[in-house]
Amino acid sequence: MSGKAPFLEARDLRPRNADGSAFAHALTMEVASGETVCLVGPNGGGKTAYLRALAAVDVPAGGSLDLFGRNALGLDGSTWRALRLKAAYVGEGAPLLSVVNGLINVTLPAMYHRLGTAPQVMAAAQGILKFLDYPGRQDLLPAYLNQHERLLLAIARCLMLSPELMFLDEPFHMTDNACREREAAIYSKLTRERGMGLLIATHNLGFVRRHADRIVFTHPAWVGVFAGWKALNASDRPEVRSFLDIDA
Amino acid sequence: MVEARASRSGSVAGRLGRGLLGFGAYIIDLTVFVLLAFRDWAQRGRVFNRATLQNVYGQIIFTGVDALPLITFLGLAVGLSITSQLLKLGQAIGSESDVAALLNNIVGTELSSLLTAIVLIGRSGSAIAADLGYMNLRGEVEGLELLGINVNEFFVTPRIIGAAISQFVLAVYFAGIALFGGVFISVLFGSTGTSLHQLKRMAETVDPQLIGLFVMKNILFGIIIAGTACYHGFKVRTSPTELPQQTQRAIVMSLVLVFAADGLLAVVS
Repeated sequence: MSGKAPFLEARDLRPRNADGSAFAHALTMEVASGETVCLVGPNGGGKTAYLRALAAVDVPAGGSLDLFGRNALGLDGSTWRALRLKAAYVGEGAPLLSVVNGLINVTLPAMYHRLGTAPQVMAAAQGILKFLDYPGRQDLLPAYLNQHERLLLAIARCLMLSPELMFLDEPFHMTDNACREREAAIYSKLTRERGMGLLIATHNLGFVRRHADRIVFTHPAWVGVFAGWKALNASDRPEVRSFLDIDA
Repeated sequence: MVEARASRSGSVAGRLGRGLLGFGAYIIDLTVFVLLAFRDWAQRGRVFNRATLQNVYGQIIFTGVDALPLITFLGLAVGLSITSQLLKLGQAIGSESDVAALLNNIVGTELSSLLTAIVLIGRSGSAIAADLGYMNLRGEVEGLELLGINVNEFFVTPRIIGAAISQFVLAVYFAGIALFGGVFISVLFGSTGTSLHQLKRMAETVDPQLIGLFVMKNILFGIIIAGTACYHGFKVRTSPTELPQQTQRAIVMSLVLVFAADGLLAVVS
């Protein structure tokens, strides 16, 4: 980790269950520039709930959360919306606006936030799509694109706002190995070339093994943070060993 | 026996009371929803930004322009049936100016506003509710919120403004078609005592207060139709089964509110 202040600092963070009660286990962690942090664990372990709480998307039941050095909990509407420009969140399935085509989906947030004239925004969008090596058509509605193309467009529209931190929920869902490799290369470029911090909730352990600087393991019975794949594998926690199938 | 009857009537009164309280709470909730949407829109400084302006245009095209053929047909039908009938009836019982005032009031302001509103509820209200409900269900709305986009400003206000403009313009168009069409058809088919001079008489008897009421009523109808549709669209959260339920509620409540508002305006004006 660099000497700079972390982008994200969570202390004893407990997300809420659907019924409003607090999660049993608190999470304490940091994310700095250029880091990739992966959230792994079995289904129902709370990966998405922790990710949403860390992104200040959902209000947690307890603990503290600082994003970019400022308290990110209890913000008013306009401050929270301003925060979203720096802390992007791509939800599961990368839902794009279904009534407009791919290119408009990418340019829309920048147009809304008045980040440039129409030609400037259009040029920036093309630059980002090129950076992402977007293989699909831009003039089609999202319904006519495959999951890999939709994910790239969802990432592109976030990048239009130049975020420093990006949260991705199951980005490798419903994509084949070749697409997963391309996506992994993009995440690597985002951290290496743009210095972004990434938090990724995923079941793709191949990606976690090769790219995660730190791993958050979430399980209904326990939550812990590991300094990479080796540390996770060396864990003697029964939940981790069962999840990784180590003793089988 | 007497106790059972009292308990039954108490239960009916209780149910009625609960229903009225529920309706009152619904009206307050809906009003707050629409006011908050306008507050968020007004807070942005400029009237429209480029992204939301596209939504206003889109709504006007869908609600207004695309509805023109249907409104034309209905206007002509009303002209053929009601305007020509009223012309005949009016000539038998009153003077030319009485007939003109009658047509202005009944066809020009009441029927045109109500029938246009019914068309808009069926076409646009249901479409807005289903559209927003689907987008909410699929996480598209949250996806935009997470990009710092205010969904009230982006989805709700443009739809309300577009629907209000469309309702007003279409009601004017409807009134024109129904009145001109009715008089023209009556003249064409040689109805006794009817001439195109009737149109001039109608223009002369237009009351400025009536025009003001017409404008206010139609803008209010547009706000009710789109506001109710957006309100119910955003109520769709988890299951696809909520989508038809909320769409149906949006249609029913829009009809109830439009007719209630029309009656209320008729009483106070």
